[in-house]
Amino acid sequence: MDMVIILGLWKRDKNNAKNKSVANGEKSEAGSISSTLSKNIDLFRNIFRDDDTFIVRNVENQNNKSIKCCILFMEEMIDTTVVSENILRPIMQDNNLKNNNDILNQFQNRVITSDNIKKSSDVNLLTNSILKGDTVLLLEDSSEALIISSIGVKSRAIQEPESEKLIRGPREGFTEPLMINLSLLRKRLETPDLKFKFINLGTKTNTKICICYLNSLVNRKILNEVETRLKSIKIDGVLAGGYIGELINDEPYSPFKTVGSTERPDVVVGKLLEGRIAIIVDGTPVALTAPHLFIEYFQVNEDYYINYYFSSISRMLRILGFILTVSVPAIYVALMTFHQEMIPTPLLISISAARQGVPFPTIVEIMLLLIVFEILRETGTRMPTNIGQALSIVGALVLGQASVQAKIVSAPIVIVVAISGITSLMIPKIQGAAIILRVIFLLLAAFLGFYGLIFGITGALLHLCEMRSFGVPYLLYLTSMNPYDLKDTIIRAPLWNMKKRPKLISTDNMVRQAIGRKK
Amino acid sequence: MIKRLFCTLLMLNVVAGLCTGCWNYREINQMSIVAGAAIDKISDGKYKLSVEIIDLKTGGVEAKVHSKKLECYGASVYDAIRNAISINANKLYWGHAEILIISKDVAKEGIVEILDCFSRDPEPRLTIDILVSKEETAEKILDSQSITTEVRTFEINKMLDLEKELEKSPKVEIYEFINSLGESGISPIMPVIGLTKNSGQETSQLSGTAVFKKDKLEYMFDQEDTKYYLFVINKIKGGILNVKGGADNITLKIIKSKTKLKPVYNNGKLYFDLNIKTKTSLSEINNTTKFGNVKDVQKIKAEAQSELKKEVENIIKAAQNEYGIDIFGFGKSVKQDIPDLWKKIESDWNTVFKNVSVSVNVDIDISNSGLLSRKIMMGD
Repeated sequence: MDMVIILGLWKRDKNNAKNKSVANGEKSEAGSISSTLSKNIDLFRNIFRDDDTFIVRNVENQNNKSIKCCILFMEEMIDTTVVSENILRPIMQDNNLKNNNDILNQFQNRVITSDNIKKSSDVNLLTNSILKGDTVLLLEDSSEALIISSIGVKSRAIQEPESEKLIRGPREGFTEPLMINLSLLRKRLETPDLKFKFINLGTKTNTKICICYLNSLVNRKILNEVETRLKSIKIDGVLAGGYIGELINDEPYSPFKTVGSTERPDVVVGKLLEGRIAIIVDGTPVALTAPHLFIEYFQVNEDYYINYYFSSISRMLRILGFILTVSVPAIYVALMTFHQEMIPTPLLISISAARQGVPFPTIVEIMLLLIVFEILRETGTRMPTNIGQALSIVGALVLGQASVQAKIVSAPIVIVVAISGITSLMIPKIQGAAIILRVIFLLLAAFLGFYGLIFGITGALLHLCEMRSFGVPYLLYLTSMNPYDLKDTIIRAPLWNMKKRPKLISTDNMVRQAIGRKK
Repeated sequence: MIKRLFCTLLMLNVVAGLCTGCWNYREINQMSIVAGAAIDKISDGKYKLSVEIIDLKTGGVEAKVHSKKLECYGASVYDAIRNAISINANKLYWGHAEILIISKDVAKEGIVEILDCFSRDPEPRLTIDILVSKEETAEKILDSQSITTEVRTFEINKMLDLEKELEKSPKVEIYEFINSLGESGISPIMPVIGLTKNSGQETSQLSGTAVFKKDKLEYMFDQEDTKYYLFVINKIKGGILNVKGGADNITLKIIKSKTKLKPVYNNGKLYFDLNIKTKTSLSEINNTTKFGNVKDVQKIKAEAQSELKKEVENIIKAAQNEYGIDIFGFGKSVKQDIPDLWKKIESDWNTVFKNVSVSVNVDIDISNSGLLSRKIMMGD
């Protein structure tokens, strides 16, 4: 009986959703404009009714009063100098305007000094252009209108990204407008081989999305797959790159991402040169890259800009950091509560002494502190920067030192959580997965000791081995026994030694560099 | 995908539950860490177990490691261990125990049940060092003053570990004892520990070797003899050799030493070749010793060789004549090298051992003379 009610509710909900989508669906304003100016003005006034930023401006030529025209634009989207200097002034002050059938061409070719002018009669296109910041020029007795580029939206300057710092290397980061981001890429890849393909997503936001790739390097199958997945998105709004990343992910339930993200144009160019595809979303300073492999979490652009010995060491440290952050609390709990034999005697004695008088079991203690650490981390991310000092005082002194002195937690636990926390900050991109794995391993270790931990690790490895990113195995190269494949994994081989692109990603064009100087 | 992953994890967890051996969730502050124990017997035949536990009552950051003695009684060793709960409230944790001292009275009656208890239980390690106490009770050793650490048994363990610099006492772990107990052709031995005076207080001292016949203590010999005994069984890793020839008093430091024991069966007669090859360096000479050229070095070498040969022959003779117990593993070497012969003489080995002749060859090499190339000169 209950089942039926629940099913009924679910059905009703589904029906409601259907009705809503119909109600919300836009009435398509398909059609063309007429040749009467006043009618066309009324048409657009109707489309943009109740919108006070929509401006209709009637214009007359001072020499030829018979020419009646009108420009339409959105006040907040346009560059006022462009509209007044390049559109209004030429129309008003031109001396040779003839009122004949050719007048639209005269405007387009001779009068208006704007870099991008299009003719169109499609109401939809005209509406979208106005929304984008273009100016639409309507003319009496003309069934076509001119779309004049006049976009003037202000944006942030190009800055160094806060989330991906480096010491040596380019400091430019992506910013919000798509075109500026594309210019940053084009600047670095001066080749016609670089292709930008646009696609608009979001039924409401109509966000422009650009697929970037190098035509001769890209794997066609992956490119097609990316395009299919992008086209299958039917969402009302795309506010950031993360939307796209989540919607085209291969493994929607996995904590690991199969689409990479970066704020740095040099990183994107590096990925493009390996045959990968970048997806840039307008309004987001983040580019998505696909396919994204597990090892890319540990690769940093600076690895390739500095000495390869040093970058290999840093990369090993990053991998070690990931291993530590997920397993140190679990190993500690397993050692302390199951396998006391494995600890050196003096260490056992000192930890045992430190735990005297602590009221909670080890697992509760460590969970408490881990949660406190995550709270501190989240607070640190969200709070305004100018009150940061208060957090560090509370975090370090009150929660760390005082809780040990008050015997709420034991000192070794603080060390363990600190190691786990610091190492998790070393690779910020994998943090989400690390937190989940850490807790799973910790619980397994608390119930089953090292057995549990080892089975947890086995499960995580099985999951990683099973994953694919756009058809490419997620652990590509890491599971390989061939030393040639390991050149850009745990170590970063010298650049003169990496002569080929990653296999499976750039299938058609494997050779990265010809044999140059002999080493 | 998610279903498959879930099933895999579920299966793994079920398997994990079945695969666990000895495990239990226990907090380290709820158990008493045992450092070592001494075993005695009281008048009515019950075992008396004196356990040294780490005392953590103080706790906290500035905790100092102390030890405490816990006395418990039982009809068997394991019974005594469990009885400790009735006075201690914490379960004893034997995973880090290092030392087991057995009193000589218990050892004379046989120690096989003690060995059984400590090797059958999963908690104590088979690498616990096992010793015989020379004093009337083994407990006295635990009561003696410790010098470097607060924990008596840890100090004894360190002393045993550092014996490789001194080589006057063997180091025997429980599994080694059990192994040689089960083997034919060699009798098990154990280090001996006794008490001595140090700045007015009683402290413990390693003092020689105890010889067992089966699991019963037969006799003990002292530290000096132990050194030559260790030469025979090829266990010398360091230590020193004192050579006294006339007015000379020379001390040689052993760098390394290798002993090869070879049984030879010739014309129906069994004898053993014992070749000792020792590399030493000079560490001390007195002023009357001549030390200037190759001849002098040869002379010192010859003296040292004859002295070592004499001592080694003595210890072998003593074992053969006084007790007739094969502590050197001569029988074992016959078993390994001439198995056909061993089958014939195995039943009669004790009498064969008493009369077998051993030819000892010693080769001592003095490789350097330290930082001084000659003796210290004295003027007026």
